Amino acid sequence: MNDNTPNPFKLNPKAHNAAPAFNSTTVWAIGGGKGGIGKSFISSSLAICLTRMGKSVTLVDLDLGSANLHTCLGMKIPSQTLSDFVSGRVQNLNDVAAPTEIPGLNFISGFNDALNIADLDRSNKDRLISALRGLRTQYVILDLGAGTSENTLDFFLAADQKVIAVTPEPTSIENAYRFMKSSFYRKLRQAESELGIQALIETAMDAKNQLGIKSPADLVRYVASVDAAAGARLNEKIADFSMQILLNQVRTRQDTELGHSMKSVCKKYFGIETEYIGYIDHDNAVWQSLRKRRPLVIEYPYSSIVGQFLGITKNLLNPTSLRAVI
Amino acid sequence: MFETKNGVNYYEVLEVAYDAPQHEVHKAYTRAKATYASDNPALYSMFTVDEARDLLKLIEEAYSVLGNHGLRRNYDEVLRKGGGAPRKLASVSVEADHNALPDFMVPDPSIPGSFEETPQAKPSNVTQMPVQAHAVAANPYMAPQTHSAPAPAQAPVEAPAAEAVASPLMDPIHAAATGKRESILVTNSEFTVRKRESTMPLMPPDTGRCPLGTYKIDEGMENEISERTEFDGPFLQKVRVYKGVSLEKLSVASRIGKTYLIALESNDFKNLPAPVFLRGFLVQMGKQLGIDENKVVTSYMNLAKASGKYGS
Repeated sequence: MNDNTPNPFKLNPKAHNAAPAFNSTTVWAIGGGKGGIGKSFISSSLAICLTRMGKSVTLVDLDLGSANLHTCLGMKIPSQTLSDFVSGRVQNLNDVAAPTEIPGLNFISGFNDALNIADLDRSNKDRLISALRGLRTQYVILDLGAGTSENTLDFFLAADQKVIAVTPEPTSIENAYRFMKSSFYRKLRQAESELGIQALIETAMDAKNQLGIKSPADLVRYVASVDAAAGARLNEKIADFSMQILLNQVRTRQDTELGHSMKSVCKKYFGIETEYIGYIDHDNAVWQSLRKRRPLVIEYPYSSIVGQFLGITKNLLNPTSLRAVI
Repeated sequence: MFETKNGVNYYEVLEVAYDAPQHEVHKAYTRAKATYASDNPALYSMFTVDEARDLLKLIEEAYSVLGNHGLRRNYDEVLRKGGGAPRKLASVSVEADHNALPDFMVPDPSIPGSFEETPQAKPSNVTQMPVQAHAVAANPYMAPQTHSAPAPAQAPVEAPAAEAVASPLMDPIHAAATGKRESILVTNSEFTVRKRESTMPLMPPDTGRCPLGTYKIDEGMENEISERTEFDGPFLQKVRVYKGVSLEKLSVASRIGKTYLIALESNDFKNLPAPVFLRGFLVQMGKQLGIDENKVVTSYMNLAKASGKYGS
């Protein structure tokens, strides 16, 4: 699609790439545990939808061992990638960010077969996390890749909006819950050490059968019953931990209810609020655009999937700031 | 304000706000029941079948309190005082508001079939035969019965009547006993078309069947049922037990909440809902238990009014 075709989605292109006056980069992370459920597809589509709304976005491929995002976007691999930053060849992450044909969208590729995200050591990981916040666009979207390695979880927890992609298959559901459990426990560990309640939690976990502690929610309730102040502080820490559930490859109406069910299960099991931000239909246009190596949002802009993505993007943005989309 | 140190918070169970209006409570209840049904894929790897069942019981309990205006008000008081939520309903004193809509019966347009009085038959069920004992006597094609049929029917008060019977309708109670299996099609604007499978297994000779199950026929009891004119709570319970129907099953099939069924069977008129709904309940019970619903309705309603404790 060249620029002469009237594109109803195009907003003022000059509005992009304007650096914010203060550093207010918002980070979204797309995780989900299972491979092949469409995280790269979702991250690239959300990024393009954001640009259609006039925001500047950097899309980061954190699936270091199996980077695919450049394929979804139909781009050549940039000359500099994340591994250049990690190895120290490039000091500023902004220099690694390559502009794309899409106005307002920058891209950081993870392409390098030698480096795997699990191999990232702690200091590099922390350095990367703070560098991501220093990127000069309004939004940063992280495509996390599969698995629940500590590094993946830490990138996930560092995000402002944590999106879990799920497909209606039991394998995906199982992995999504595994991912949620792992990230929740990682968060709990962080909170524990900050609040100094490791001993209390260990005692609870040792006696969990007698105390009737079956789920994280029970654990937190137990802590509150023993030490009300610590319990309150723990609850505060956990309260900022919220996740968004996004269903992909939905085929039936019943599948869409899965989001609500998962939200309820999370509330009862973890005691945390999750939000069901929407679903994406299973559509042939997806594999067709992928084979062409073109982003669906650009290749089939009038597809119903694009409408669904726009709605989800709106849900992820501050809902009061946008009244109507397009 | 609503902290509970021990015990369960019903609002949390139903995941509903403290100031939620009744229709939202009902919606949350329906959604919660669907979520913790044992075949929901969302439960996989998080809750075992037993845990899901326990959760369902808890949800039922929570709704039986929050779904009723009076009980909910009492419960709010208890919560406000910071006490643990009482688990047993018997411990909560009840001042039910008789003029309040029993929310179990509020039809929810999003649920298919909620405007119908009888539940939709699932295709996997073998038979759900509408009991038309009174129509049987009038049917000229009826095989002679040893079981004395009740008097021909007057028009039922508020029940959707089963109209045109397409083919000879056997007395359902003894049909299984005689072993005759005919394809019976009941077409009616209010009922779904129900066809009896011809591959149904043969029942032992003295087994009767009602819409909710099979039971061993006791002629003495059958006579008592057909001759009885005054149906009160305890007798209805006796019939239910005789027919081998559990309270749970009846509650699910008739869509009457268990608390109401218990009140009904113990002649606890104070806690029964407004007449229009009570009549509906009685008709349902009659249908599901295979007894003449008109007799049940008239006699029970009279009993309730005569007691003086049933305000309407």
